[in-house]
Amino acid sequence: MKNRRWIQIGFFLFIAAIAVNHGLTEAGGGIAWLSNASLHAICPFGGVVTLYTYITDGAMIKKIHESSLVLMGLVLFLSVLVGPAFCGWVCPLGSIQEWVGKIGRKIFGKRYNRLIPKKADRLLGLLRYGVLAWVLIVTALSFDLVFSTVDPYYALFQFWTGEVAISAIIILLAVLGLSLIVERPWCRYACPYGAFLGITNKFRIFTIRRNAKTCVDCKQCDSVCPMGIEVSTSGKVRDLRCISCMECTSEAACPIPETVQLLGGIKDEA
Amino acid sequence: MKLNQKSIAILVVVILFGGVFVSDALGLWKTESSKVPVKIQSGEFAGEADPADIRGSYTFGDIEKVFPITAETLGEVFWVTENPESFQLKRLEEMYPSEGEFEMGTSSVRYFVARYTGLPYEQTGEEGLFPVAIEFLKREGKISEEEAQTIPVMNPEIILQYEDAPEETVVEEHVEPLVKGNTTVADLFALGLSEEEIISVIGEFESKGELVRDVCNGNEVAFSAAKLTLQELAEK
Repeated sequence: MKNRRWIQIGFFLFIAAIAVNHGLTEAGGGIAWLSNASLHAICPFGGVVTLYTYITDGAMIKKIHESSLVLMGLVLFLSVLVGPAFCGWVCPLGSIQEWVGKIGRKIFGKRYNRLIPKKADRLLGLLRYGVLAWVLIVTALSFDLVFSTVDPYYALFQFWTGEVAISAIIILLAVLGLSLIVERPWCRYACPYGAFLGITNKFRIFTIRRNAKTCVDCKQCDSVCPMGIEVSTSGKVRDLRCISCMECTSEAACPIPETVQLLGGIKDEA
Repeated sequence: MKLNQKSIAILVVVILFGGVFVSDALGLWKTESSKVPVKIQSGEFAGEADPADIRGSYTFGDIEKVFPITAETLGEVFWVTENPESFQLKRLEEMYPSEGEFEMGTSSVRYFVARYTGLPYEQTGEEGLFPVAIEFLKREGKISEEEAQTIPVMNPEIILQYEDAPEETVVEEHVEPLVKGNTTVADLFALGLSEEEIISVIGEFESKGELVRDVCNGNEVAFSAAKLTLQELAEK
């Protein structure tokens, strides 16, 4: 199994275990050696939404703690280095969409991921910046974690507690359902954190690069990209949607050695 | 320089887990509330900690760190004699029964801190102070005699009731309320209330394990009024 699959499974189980342990601890039990932090405390996006309040008032919004700011900083550092690898390697919501997508590929075959026209796909991709702006504004104005009422990530790990807003559960089910026809629909069209991290694609140090001299234009890189990026027409992939999953590289889908690679350094950028 | 999948896997694990480990060692990794109230947004006192954001989970010691008032003083005026630094405000409501519309709880502490520090505070109508607290404010020159007359006074006998009343007498004469200071949201569900009913009274809550009083404080809902409404709903 590829490195990425192991990491995704590992983080999914790790977050699920912490979420369950949090519930058990509140009920008076729990596993002592495992973190019992709330899901909000270990979500780096909490750091983004509370940043304004933290800077202006020196206080966190309700339910968000300093750990979210730490994680936000670490994920941002990782993203500046190699792009939004958090999305492609860590985020459990992204992982589960991919796993459901594998079923979709089996059902729809070659029609999978092609039911939404390319142009519409690109335009819909801008929606997530609208979501990001909405989340930041309403959070700053309300001092409350408004996003949790529609957050499918929260619903994914808390649905069994009865504490999740019905709207969040509906969105989670819609996302999982849509994953059967398009890969990572939440990440592509709605995720505000993906939108935020995606900005680092414009200046990240290590970038996916295609060597046009050796490329045979087979478009394998395009067909495997979970975010619908046309790697085959790019030199350097600076697309805001890239999640650094490495599926397009010569190590994975690209059949020609050293043609699509993750390269960094000033020399490579020249 | 080239990175492969293995390199990314190592970077992800090292940066995230290593970063958490280092931040924990530096005391930056906190997964629980920081016990620091928000600051006042505008006006003459902009930038000062807001007494209205003092929460029931704070201790007198937490307040001492933020406001120019000692835990010892707070202990004195709220009749908390043992270890006031670690005394959590939410315990006040357990110690003292409510008296009419007044309640000796978190809002009373907010009110006292505001009067002591001179910071603005909008009363909710349930605040009250013991005479010893009012005398203290007068003695310290924080309020005038006229102002002292306007402060709701809590009957100090409730302290004596708490300290001296034999348990048997309390059980015989007092009908145990369904919603108390240590009632959790989960308890409300157990009483047969629906999630919609609960949210309509106390506002949104994070988990069923939260104390109803904390949720009320967090959502700026008067606990004393909320518990009566919840009691009525539970008894339907």
